[in-house]
Amino acid sequence: MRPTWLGMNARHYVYDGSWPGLLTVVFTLFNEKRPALSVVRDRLLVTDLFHDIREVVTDEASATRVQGSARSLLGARRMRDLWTCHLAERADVDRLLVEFLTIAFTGGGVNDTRDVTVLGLRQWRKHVSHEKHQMEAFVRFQENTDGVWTSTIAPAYDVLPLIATHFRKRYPDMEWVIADKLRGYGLYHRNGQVLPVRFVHEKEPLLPAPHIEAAKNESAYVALWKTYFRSVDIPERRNLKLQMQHMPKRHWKHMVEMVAGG
Amino acid sequence: MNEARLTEKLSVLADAAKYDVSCASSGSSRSNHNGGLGNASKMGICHSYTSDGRCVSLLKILLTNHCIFDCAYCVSRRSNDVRRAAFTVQEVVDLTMNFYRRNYIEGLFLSSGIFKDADTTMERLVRVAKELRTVHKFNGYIHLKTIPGASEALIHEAGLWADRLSINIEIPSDAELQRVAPEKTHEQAIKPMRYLHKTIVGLKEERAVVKRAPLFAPAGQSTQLIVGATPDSDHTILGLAHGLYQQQGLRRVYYSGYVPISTDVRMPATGSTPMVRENRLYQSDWLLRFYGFSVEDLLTPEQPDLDLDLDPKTAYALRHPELYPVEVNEAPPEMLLRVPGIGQKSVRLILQARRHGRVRMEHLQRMGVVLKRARYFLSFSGTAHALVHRPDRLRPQLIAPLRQKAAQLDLFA
Repeated sequence: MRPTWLGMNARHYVYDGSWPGLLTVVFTLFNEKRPALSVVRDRLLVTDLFHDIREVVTDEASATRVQGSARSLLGARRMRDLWTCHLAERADVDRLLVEFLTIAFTGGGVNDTRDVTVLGLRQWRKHVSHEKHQMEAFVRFQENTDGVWTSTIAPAYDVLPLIATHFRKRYPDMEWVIADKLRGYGLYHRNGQVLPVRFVHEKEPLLPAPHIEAAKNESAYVALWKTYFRSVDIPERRNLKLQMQHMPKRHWKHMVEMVAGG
Repeated sequence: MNEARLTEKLSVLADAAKYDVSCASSGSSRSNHNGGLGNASKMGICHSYTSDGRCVSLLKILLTNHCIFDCAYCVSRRSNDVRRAAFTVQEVVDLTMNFYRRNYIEGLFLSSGIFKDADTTMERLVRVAKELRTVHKFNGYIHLKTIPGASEALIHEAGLWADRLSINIEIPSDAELQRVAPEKTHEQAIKPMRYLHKTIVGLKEERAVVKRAPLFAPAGQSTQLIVGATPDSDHTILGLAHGLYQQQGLRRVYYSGYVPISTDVRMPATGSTPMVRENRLYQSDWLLRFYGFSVEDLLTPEQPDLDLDLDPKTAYALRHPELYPVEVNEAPPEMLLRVPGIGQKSVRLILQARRHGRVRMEHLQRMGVVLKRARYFLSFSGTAHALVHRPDRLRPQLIAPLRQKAAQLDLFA
């Protein structure tokens, strides 16, 4: 936080974690002229006894106003970058976002690449975009007897809203589901329409109905893909560290070629 | 589907194709306009990584490894005793479609041994691509090998279906090529390259006027050079690469460190080419294409090989102390780009920051500049590092941290 801002006047903000919610925080902060010490999604995370806590109820009208004036200051592309950062779902990023919008609304240097907040958000945009790009690469579809292609992922950030367009454009003739196992929701595509869907079993989102199973040739193509993957390896140049750097281990259990057997 | 037979073919024909290091699926722009399958993303996507850390982007296979040629550096050469196999057109199409639908790959990279003559081989490659595009409405990435000696009509048709075409020069000098592959010459590879370059440029100009002019190899051409199989110097290699970029408009030149797969007596009895050399060549290639360096900046006939201990930009900076220090707050972008540890992104950030005030060392650190190299070659409002004009003393400083890192890696290997 900018030191000039701080003082007993500052307080902690609690909100619901949504993007309009965060914009409402910014609205409240300006309206009541009380700067933010932290911006969190859960009241219990605040352990500080010396400052006030303000619980902000998301208000669409205030959010729209903030969004509108921020867009006219920063442009649509920059707004999309900020929204992308917000998908990191982290308190430190939320605080940077509030700080950044404060800089923007008080006429500060939003393009000053010496600034900690400006560079910090730049970094986070990179992290989230990187995760998006990796998910576009590491999703593995399975074909099922009901004709639906399914995939489970566990991304570090909430990237489903970012990858929807990519998969819609790439597989327009397929009916597919991509399930985020960690967040308990997914994307469902059919005929060029992508819809968010919630799952009944949050832990096992793609637990199929009893009569549905993998399509006839599914296991054969998985086996062929594994054969291919093994054949292109050059064992003389083994470099597991490099492999893991490009393809973090946490994704392996959702990628057929990295799962043992076959 | 006969899974066992297909598995056997796939393992033989993927194994034989893996020494072609090109993996790019980028640089094309093919949208899904027909409601079919896939598109080619501008950025390219690596869908997996092998245990040696290389990207797996395309289904990279040979149509067949039967070959009438006997090139000493190649596993599939006629005189080598290896298992032989051949895919049918239908098998390649099926594998591509089914791998693509599962999001395993960005597309197909199809190459082949010359199994009868150039035209027969080329015709078969073209047929695979045509069938994918027309019968199966496949819009994913297709990279085809151009077979030297194939007719221009076939090569032209390949350009209509494929995103990228490539023809490998392999051996960097004609003289060495004649020795290890007597049936081949550089001219055989350059001729179709020249034809394709002409057509790509021509159709691009046409597209600018007539929007419906056909796509023709939108991701351009590439080639591969084998490093360390022959005594050719880095100067020869980069000189050739530079010429190919300039004259044939190539998108990429790949450098493949020679893996001693061959027991052919025409090949040197050396061990594997150090990975470092391959890496240094890629770094130099990058400097040539994006950083405004010339081949002469990096190498001379007197000093024909790259320094393996230092990256080429740092080596350049040490040879030219008179150009440094570069003043962060004043220097033009092209000079900032010549500072080791500063890349194109950093330059953009620095220029943007300068509009707001003085830039200091701590700012550069935040921007992601590699200060352990850059700090010796910069000045900040006039203050420079004491050793800036002492390359003799800087050299060991710049090498030392790398050595330590290498030693640590050994420890954990």
